[in-house]
Amino acid sequence: MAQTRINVPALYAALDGARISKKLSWRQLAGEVGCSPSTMTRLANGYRPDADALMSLTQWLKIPAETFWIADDDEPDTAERPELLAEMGVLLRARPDLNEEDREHLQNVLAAAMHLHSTHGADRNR
Amino acid sequence: MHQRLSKAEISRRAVTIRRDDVQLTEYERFCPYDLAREHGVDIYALEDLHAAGCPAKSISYFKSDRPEVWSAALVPVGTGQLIVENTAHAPQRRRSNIAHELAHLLLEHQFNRILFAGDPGKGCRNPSNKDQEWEADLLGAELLIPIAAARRGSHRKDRCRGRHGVRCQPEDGSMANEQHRSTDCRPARCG
Repeated sequence: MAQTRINVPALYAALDGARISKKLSWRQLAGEVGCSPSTMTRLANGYRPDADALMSLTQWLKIPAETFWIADDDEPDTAERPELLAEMGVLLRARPDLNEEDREHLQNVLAAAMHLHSTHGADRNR
Repeated sequence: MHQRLSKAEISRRAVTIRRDDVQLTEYERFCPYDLAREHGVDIYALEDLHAAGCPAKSISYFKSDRPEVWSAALVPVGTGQLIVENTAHAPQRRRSNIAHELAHLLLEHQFNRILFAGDPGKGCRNPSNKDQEWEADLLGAELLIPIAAARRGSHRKDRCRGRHGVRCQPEDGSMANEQHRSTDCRPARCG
């Protein structure tokens, strides 16, 4: 039987939509749901909620928890996004306080950090 | 349009965040790295990036040649964020930077670009939104040491130093600058 896991981005998107429609901040939403404020930022960063938090969140959304289950063999959406790196290059070039060498090295630093983050994100989703 | 929060509101939020997120009273020592861990925000030290493919020359460039270019960067990635910190700087400054960057997240500031912290006390190089920088500066400082606790502690210098490892300032309002409230807890010993 196929294993399942939580589709964290879909859960986060559903919460975000409901939050915006009710004009709540993330911290206010956490208060309404009855979970810790860090649950929300952890979701944003790709961490799965624990069973209690998932129950509270889906009950608040009035959506069955099963809606957010996906098969374990589906690839998580944690691939590095080339457009982010390209956008970063554009942003760095627009900074007049940086010289060309600063930009080149900053791009190397940030690309490595994003690569590491992507690797950690994939680990978190397994 | 976003209206700038008052100092009183930011102080109140700092107390709430310290209490609810990391279970601290206003007198207990605050570690920004613990807060980041609680919120699932990854912090990458500059020297750790070599293993992830960052050339050694880029690391040494910011550690030795041009450390003043940036102290920390808050990078939006999808719905989340990560922080990169320049470990060439003093532990006090690093803690202050991390608290400042986390303050942007906790205040739910909207930004779609990388925010770089630069010179001490000047916040991020984010001139397009000075209100957000002001708020993050103040909340970052309040998280490190709430102003009310610092003022009370300034009457009892030994206890204040013992609890927070701070340079105590007189009760004349001069504690508003976050750099005055940086503690000497070394990042590596936090958590």
